[in-house]
Amino acid sequence: MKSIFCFMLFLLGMTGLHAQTTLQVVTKSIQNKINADGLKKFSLLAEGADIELSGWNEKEIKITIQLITKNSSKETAVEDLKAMKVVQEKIGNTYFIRNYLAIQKGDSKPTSNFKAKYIIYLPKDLLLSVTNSFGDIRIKGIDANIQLNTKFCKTEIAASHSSLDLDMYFGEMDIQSQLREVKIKGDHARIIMGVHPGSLEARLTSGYFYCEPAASNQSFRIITDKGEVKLKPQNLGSFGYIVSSEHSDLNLPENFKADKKKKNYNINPDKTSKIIININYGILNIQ
Amino acid sequence: MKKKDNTDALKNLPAHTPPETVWLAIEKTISEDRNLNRQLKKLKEYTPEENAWTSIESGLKTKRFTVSILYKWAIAASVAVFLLAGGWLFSLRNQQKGNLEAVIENYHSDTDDAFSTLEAFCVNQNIVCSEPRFTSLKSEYERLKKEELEVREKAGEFKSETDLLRKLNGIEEKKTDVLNQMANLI
Repeated sequence: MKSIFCFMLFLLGMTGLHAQTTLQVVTKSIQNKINADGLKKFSLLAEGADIELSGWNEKEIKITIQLITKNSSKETAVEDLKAMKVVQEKIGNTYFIRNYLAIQKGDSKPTSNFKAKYIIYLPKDLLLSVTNSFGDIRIKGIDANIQLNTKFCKTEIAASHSSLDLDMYFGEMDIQSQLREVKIKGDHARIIMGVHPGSLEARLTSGYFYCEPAASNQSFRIITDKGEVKLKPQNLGSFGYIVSSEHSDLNLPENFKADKKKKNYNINPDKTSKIIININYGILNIQ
Repeated sequence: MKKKDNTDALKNLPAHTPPETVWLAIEKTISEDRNLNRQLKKLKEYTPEENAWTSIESGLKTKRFTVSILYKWAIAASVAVFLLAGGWLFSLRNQQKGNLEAVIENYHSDTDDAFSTLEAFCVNQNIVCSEPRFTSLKSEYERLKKEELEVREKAGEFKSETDLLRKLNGIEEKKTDVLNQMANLI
């Protein structure tokens, strides 16, 4: 594998943040290019990172990483930055990147605020796996499968035709892409999907979920406990609807002949495309 | 005024009882009227059949009985309607109370774990966590927790489980939003 590795270290004393105390910001920057021949998967395991991932037609992966510490003491910020480590390695047909804090035995715990920033370009047909917490993630132009595991992250997926496997704890997700198969496990997640032509399988606890199912031969299955689900099918009549609920507030279209006391519905049973919803202690809106 | 005077005058008139001889004279005149006695003897006498009295008597009894039965049925029906309506309202109220209790028993907020995660982060990261914006959000979270507790205590006062659900979901959503804002500062 031919790779180019660039390592740059910038120590920047900045006074641009306005808090009660003036914070010193120290940044370390890492750049790398990897030949993607023979790779099938790209895996990023990050903490407190802002990540931008873009698919392109090149057969290489271009990575720019910034490691940032903020502290009222510049010396402390510089010292703490040394604890931020990045590992990059190829194992089999997968390329891994990981950032973490390495505290040596006997060292005092770092007191700085840590942040990592990734800007990555990768082949659009590479399988993508991203784990992150406390940060923003932007993904665009990916056509292969995306696996996302996020905690307290703001995520956007745009211009992608991939399938998605999402495990999300708190945070927000905005999907403005024509994705294929989507599987979601959401806990207090706020998920907004635009028009979705693929299939969907979602298990949700609390939170908010919005989706516009496109008229297709796909099926949607949503199981939710608490929280609110709002669906706006592009063509209401092209789906069959099987709704079963317990202690929930159902707001259904007029032609469903909804009755507030009724818990279960089977509308348009002859349709092959189904929207199946099982909701407990939640709010369901179908428009 | 004049009318009242007349009434008083009439009340004050003396009363007179005719002597017994007057009545005896009238009786004697009637008995001595031969023509009258002759005509009276010509009048036919009829004796009604025995069953006529029975029939009249039973007719009277039936009528009285019919009135009595209708009256009793009306009272019974009113009582039944009253009891059914009361029972229905009671069961409806009980069902609603049961639904509200079910919501409270089964609707658990899961945001405290997330809040603990953020607090754990603050053990080492006091730069962000001591910022006014962060502490303000923390206070807002505590306030929402109190509000949720109050809603749970007053759950029985909600009109329906839908109202209660909307309220609890609303608070959960606000708590989630506050925690997300706190996380964004990290």
